[in-house]
Amino acid sequence: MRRDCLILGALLAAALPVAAARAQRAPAPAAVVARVQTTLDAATRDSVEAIAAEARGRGLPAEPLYTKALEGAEKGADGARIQAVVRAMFDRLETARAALAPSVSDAELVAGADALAVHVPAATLRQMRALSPGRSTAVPLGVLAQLVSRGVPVRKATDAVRALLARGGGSQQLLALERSVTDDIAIGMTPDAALDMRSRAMIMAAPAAPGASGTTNTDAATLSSTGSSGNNGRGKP
Amino acid sequence: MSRSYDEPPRDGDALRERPAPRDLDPELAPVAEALRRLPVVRPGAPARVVAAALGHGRGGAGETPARWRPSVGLTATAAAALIAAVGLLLAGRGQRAGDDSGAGQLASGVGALPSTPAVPPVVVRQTASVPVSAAAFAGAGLAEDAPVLVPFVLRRPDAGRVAVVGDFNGWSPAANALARETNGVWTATLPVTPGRHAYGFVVDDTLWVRDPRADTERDVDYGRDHSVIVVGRP
Repeated sequence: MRRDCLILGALLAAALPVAAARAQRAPAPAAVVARVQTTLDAATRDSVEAIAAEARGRGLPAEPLYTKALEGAEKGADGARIQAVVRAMFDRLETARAALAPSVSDAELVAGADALAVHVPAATLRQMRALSPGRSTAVPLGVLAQLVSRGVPVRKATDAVRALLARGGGSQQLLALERSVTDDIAIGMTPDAALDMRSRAMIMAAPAAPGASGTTNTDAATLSSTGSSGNNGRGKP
Repeated sequence: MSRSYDEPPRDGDALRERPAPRDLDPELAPVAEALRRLPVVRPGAPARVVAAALGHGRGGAGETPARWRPSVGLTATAAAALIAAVGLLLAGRGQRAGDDSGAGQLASGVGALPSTPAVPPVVVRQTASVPVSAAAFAGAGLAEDAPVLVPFVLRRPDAGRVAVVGDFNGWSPAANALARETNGVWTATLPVTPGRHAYGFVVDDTLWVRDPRADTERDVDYGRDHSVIVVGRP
């Protein structure tokens, strides 16, 4: 048993640095770059290319920036608007990377930027990373952003996602929570009440994960008493 | 290209009725239909009953929580980490090979993927997703960020062409056309990375349509609302 562990440890020591080196930012797909060249006007294209180059220089992926620009083109936005939105996206990517450090995948970066766009604070991204060391935060952040987008107060949504993660909940549980809350809102419940009901039930039913930190058996009660001041007035009612 | 932007048509099609976040259980459908025909006593009451029944049926809060985090030994953990590292290496190879393919190859990429494991699909809003092999994932990141196959569906009997555009295909109407099925239903299944995604449909290259079966989000960037899905691996 001990020998097996040693062998596996040696293999890991050899493989992980190579894997880490491989996990560099992927270049934007050629088709996306080509569409930027053909879709945007010259001034907008030059501006977007400059932002993308700056992103690459700082180790950020360029593809989300190109995608944001193409979204604007597809939606008929003018060049000035596209440039402003792409610049804002660049800023969010940078903030997300700092918050999700040290190791951040492209999917996590985009999810983090998306969460920041709906006014989830960077400190919350750091909390998510701390709760999921070595695991992707793309789904937790996506669920969090979606809950906030549906009108759930940021603090309350954060507490619910955090409590589920701390109890060992995975993508299925997070998606089930988001689905249930969204459905409840659709049939007339307030976002606050919907999240209270669904998250309390899920958390109370879940056993405390062995070794989980940052959560207690009072999570459900905490959720129900969390105020809505963290919403910043954002999100749909 | 400038496109007109349209609300989803409201022709009474069952696909567009609320609540329709997921397909109704066949046994529940007649009950839902009967409830809808009753005089409206309180707005939303029938939908509330159906939603409650659905929640009960799928387990809701009590979904096998005991199995959320199986206990694993040190050896198993190390083995899993090694497998993940090898997966990343393979992903890197796939990435290099696919660098020139671009978003336009997404749809054809589905056919090139190895057969997906026969696992119960995760219901992502109205859609079901199937995990894609990590080796086929062309992007920097964790193995659990590898894409899952997500079906997109739009009922549009009058359309001659329907494409899905979103942040997963560079918002390109040329990238992923849907195939026409029976009864005017258009479908496509695409690999999408886990997380939250914005998208819409382009009908006949001229009309923007949101997905009537998904959530709509206000687009603060460009002012044109889009549909949203949250995708996760099973």
